[in-house]
Amino acid sequence: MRLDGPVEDLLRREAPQVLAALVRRFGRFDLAEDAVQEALLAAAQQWPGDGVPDHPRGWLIRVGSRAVIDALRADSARHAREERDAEQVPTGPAVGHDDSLLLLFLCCHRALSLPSQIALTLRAVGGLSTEEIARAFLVPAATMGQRISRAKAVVATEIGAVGGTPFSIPVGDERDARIAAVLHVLYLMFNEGYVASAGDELVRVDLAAEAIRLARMLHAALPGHGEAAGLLALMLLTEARRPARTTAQGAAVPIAEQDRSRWDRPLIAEGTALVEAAMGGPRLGAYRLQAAIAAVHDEAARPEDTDWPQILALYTLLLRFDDGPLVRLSRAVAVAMVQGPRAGLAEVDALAGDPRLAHNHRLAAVRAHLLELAGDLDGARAAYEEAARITLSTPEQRHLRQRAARLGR
Amino acid sequence: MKYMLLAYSAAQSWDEQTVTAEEIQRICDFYERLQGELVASGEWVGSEGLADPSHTSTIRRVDGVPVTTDGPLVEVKETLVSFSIVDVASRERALEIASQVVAFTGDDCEVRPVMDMSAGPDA
Repeated sequence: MRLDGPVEDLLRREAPQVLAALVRRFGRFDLAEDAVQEALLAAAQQWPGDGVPDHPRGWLIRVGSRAVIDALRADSARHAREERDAEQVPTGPAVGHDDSLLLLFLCCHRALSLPSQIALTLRAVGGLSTEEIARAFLVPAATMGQRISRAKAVVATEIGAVGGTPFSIPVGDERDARIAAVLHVLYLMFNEGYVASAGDELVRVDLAAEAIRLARMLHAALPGHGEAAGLLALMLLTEARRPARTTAQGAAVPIAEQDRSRWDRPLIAEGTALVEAAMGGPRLGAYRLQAAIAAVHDEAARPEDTDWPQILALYTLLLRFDDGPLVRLSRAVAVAMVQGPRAGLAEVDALAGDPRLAHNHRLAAVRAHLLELAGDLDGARAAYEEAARITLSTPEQRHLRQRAARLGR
Repeated sequence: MKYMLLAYSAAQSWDEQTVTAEEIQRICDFYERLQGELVASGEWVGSEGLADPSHTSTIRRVDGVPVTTDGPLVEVKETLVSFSIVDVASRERALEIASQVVAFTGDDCEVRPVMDMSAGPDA
């Protein structure tokens, strides 16, 4: 059923609020989720003809409530109580932001694997269909359906299935931990990447766009939260470069070689403003720092205008929050740009034995890049070829082989 | 993260037909059960059993030209008997699934990541 844009947007925005309201009322996450889908379907069928109701959320909650009750009819002991609750028509708007936040906390639950957290978030908060999510991850729809069903069941168990354990947004350390989990899920979702398949009849959902949409929702719900702002800024500043990031053949283009006229300047402005405002906030963290680094890259009109000393300072600070080998590798590039390639290579060589870099092509790729800068073209070519063998990304492999070939005899 | 699991049997046992029909059925039942579990867990992407090696053809380039012969690669010690593709949260999980195959069938199993079409973050 085709809806025009604004109504479809309205339904997608309302879906998580309705879901949260039904979960609050009935405590059955799994039934509530199905009921929301039924309510959305009913809206899609009836609203084009009848018009959008004055209180769309109330309408959806009423229809959804009836659907949950129908599903609960098997348990006659609770039947009467649930019907009484459902007679209470909600009058004003629910606390909108709190509901989305609650749902994000529910979906990004530590009892689930990260792929399951991402899939459940896309389904329950993003409102994507199982088929859309399956296509986005290139798995069969039945498999993704099972993954989501199991995730829902786990969450339902965690929050107390029967009778609806009252749950609310956690406080204190638990709240911080849950927000961190949500940020991590959205970050992974954003980095899943989107592959444009020209000529495909089935369009794959843009996961980066979905992650940005949810990050905006999170930021709106937590306006004072510096890391939530930082993550959104990081996404915007990275997304701004997307038009220049791949060639027509799908090969990856490094920042230094991207056509900056294709960068999305309004997104850069928005992301930069966001991270600048958030940098002064309490408890600085990794997302804000990564966003700050991206902002420094994005503000340079040409690669040679890049403020590498500032980037190096930011990476050095970032190590206090994330001192993993991938951050160290990125910092090594900044060291090379400020202190010369040999200094950068010394940093890279210090990481050579790190087991966390096994099966990861980036060590070889960064070594290759720095060897090239240092003028050791034979060494660079060998390192590019090694990186090309190890990488698991086909576009990245193509790019690395091209770089190796460029250094050919 | 997707991995392919490649199960290899000692070619000799296939050639000499020391694998009984009952054994083959037992193994088929195992794979069916495993697939059911992986579908239910949301990790299954695909799997197939391959036909008896006697059905195999091999094509090699000889003097620049593709040449077809009946039978598998000569002097192969192991025969590929089945493959699966799973989408799992970690390499450890892929190895765990493969270990189940090896424990039950006695076959050797290779576990290899499947290449990914996404470009990943900026260099």
